[in-house]
Amino acid sequence: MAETPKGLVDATPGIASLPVIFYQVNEAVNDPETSFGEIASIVNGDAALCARLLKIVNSSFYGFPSTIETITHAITIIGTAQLRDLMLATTVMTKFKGIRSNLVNMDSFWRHSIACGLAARIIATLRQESNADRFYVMGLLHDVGRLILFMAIPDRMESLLTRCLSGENLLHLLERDMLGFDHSEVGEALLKTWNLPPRLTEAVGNHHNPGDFSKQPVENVIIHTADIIANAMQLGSSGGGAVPPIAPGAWEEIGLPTSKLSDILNQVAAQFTDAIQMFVEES
Amino acid sequence: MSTIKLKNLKPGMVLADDVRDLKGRVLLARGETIDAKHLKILKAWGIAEVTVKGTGPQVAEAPDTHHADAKLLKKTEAELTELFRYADVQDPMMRELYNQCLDRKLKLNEADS
Repeated sequence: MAETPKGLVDATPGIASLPVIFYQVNEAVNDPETSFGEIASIVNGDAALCARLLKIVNSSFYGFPSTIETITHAITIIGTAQLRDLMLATTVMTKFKGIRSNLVNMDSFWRHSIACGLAARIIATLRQESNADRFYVMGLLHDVGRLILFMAIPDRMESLLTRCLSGENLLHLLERDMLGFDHSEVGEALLKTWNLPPRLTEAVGNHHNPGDFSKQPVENVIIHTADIIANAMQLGSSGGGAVPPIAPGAWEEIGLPTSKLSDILNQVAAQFTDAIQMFVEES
Repeated sequence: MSTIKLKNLKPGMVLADDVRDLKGRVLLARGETIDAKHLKILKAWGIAEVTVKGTGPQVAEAPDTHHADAKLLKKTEAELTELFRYADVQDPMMRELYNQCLDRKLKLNEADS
């Protein structure tokens, strides 16, 4: 029986949905009739989540001059969609437990994901994209499919990792050889199961697509490029650890001069320590 | 003419092309001779690089590795080559990424040794 990305997701226990509170907030954000106060009161129902969100909005990630003390205040400053995206980021990271540590060091995995998210957010800001925070979430989630693979088929992934580390090929290409698809498509299947927006699921599903980025949404090419930058900076690793090749024309599609790379790297490095503290400390 | 980073732009250099902001507005026109005020303007508008007339050592750019210990440089280059073994470092973007990472890693390795 041939395996499919969806089949692997369905076979993995404990990841079928996100916490109810996320969907409640999402629904409220999408409903133009809902007030900031109503959204805040949903978030306030989860004290731990509240504390985490307030910590994030008060960090150098945003760099606001005064202290933000309430969720309502946070929403007025960063916006409802951004608050929802930050919630998604913090909730997903607590979902994955019990993966064998010989396969992946979870700390290192999230460090790589955060670096990718930061790079994506910085590129989006330089391109003056609206709601740059959603790019952070895309970057953060780009490799979640690999966690599914580690949980669903740990033994086979272990042998692939050995082959990858012995220099045979990039891990996602070995996955593709063995399964006919790679972790990017598994991640896409997972995010679809969670009913996340198509722009997000597509960007995750195409980050290793070597195809023509000029015909794809800008989200896809930004995540593809941010993953390369995160790997090159060696901030954490999601397995493998070599820099994947950049798809032809991808950087041209982003449209920034190559001399901006040093700015991007400097900004990722500057925000990295803070972002780690905000997003991974409790996992 | 050659394209150089803003930090390497010096008063007296002559612009070979218009400098525009992200929206395409012209900030400084071609043929302008750079002075201190222009540098301030370009910086304020977040311009990363400009094209100037003439080439030569004063505008040539290379990774800032001249001060590094030769042995350390070799070791760091070997690590980077390994890291970038699947990437095409002839591609201008990858080349720049490689150079930037070499610079960063060299500083880390220097701090360690």
